[in-house]
Amino acid sequence: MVMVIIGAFLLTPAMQGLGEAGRILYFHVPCAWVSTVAYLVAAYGGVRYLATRNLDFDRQSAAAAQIGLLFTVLATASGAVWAQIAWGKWWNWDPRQTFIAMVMLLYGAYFALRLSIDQIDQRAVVSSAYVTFALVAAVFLMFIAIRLPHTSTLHPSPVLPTQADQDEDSPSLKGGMEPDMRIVLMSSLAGFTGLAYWMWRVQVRVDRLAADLAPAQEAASLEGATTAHPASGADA
Amino acid sequence: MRSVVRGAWAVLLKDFRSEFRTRYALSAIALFALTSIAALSFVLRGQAMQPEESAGLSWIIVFFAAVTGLARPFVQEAESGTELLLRQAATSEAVWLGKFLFSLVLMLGLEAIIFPVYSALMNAPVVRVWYLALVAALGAVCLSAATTLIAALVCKARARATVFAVAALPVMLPALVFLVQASGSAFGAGDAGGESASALRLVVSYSGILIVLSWLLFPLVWEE
Repeated sequence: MVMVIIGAFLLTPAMQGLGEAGRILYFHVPCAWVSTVAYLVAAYGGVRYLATRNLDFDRQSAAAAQIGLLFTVLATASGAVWAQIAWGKWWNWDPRQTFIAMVMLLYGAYFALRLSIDQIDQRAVVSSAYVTFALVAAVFLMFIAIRLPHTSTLHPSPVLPTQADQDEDSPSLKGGMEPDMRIVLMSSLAGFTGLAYWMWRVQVRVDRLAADLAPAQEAASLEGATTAHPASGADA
Repeated sequence: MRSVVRGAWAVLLKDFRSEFRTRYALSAIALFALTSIAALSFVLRGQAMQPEESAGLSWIIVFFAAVTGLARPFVQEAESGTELLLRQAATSEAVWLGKFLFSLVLMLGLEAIIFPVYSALMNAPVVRVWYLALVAALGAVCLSAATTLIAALVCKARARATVFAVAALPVMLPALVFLVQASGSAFGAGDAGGESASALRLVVSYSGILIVLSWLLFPLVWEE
């Protein structure tokens, strides 16, 4: 990650038309990428839970959704900063901005739904089903609705140019990238993915430990209540 | 397949019968819709609006009316404690289809009230009536598809009505955007081709995806 930060600021040339601000690319794109992967993992965990009813998959799914939401917020925030610099407005209703706001609402609703259910098994069933539902809605928005004619976006096409992109006559907007930039972007993607994976592992382990400890804690609090009772009686 | 349809029909009939016995959902949603149209018309006092604005406001009313009413099919089962009986009496496919159709009929009835009253009170003439009817029908399918699964999910939650609104709105929101785009031309904006046709295609594909997914996920949620 440190390498990426140094690389982003020192190695790469300033972008044409955007100047130094273009360096935000190396943080904005990986955030969006990580959140996409995290939502995929979340839905995978949800489907696996529904198939196996193993609570561990539910924990993995919830942890991934949490990370996905965090990185979606980061991607939106860094995107807004970029939009302010490049387009002159924090928020200009570019289709991607509109849709990412909806995706944020979707996963915010996921946690609202999750928090409203006490019973662990039912919470797992409900949130697994919802997270799968949410993924399909999110994929529909971010990858299908955006690609249609009549939705014009100021975002460039995918990073790795496809044949069709190279045929277009405006290479500057269509993912044409200097080799240096590509190396830094790719390592930034790898770094962010690694960071998110680590965060996810930690969260899953915390949840697992909490689940293991829950019965013991309950027993301890019961025990504490029974031992405390005679003492208070003696005082009286 | 035939047994599923027959079961769904039975579920649908049962829902209608219990609904007409109390008329709770129907009167509550219809009054909610009428009150919000009245509130809007007091605020705007018949000012002329752009076609897109008319379309947007009318769909927002439909949306919030749907959010108040569409949790009903499942929440009613949970509240009256008949969930277990229903699970015994019908297969999950039949339950899903029956509830989906009930929501659909509820939505269609709702839209049949909202759009004419809205158009009359808000000084928003509908230029292409049949086109609006088409968009409204597709919208009803889309919204029922989005809410059937979520209504089944929130039965297990506390504060069901609130959680339903929170959980259903983000799933319905893409549909709202596309439906508003699609129905702008019904209120007289531009022509019916081009942008509104492509928005309409999005509505259709989104509802297709939601129906398939909700159909697949529902048995896993319903039969525990």
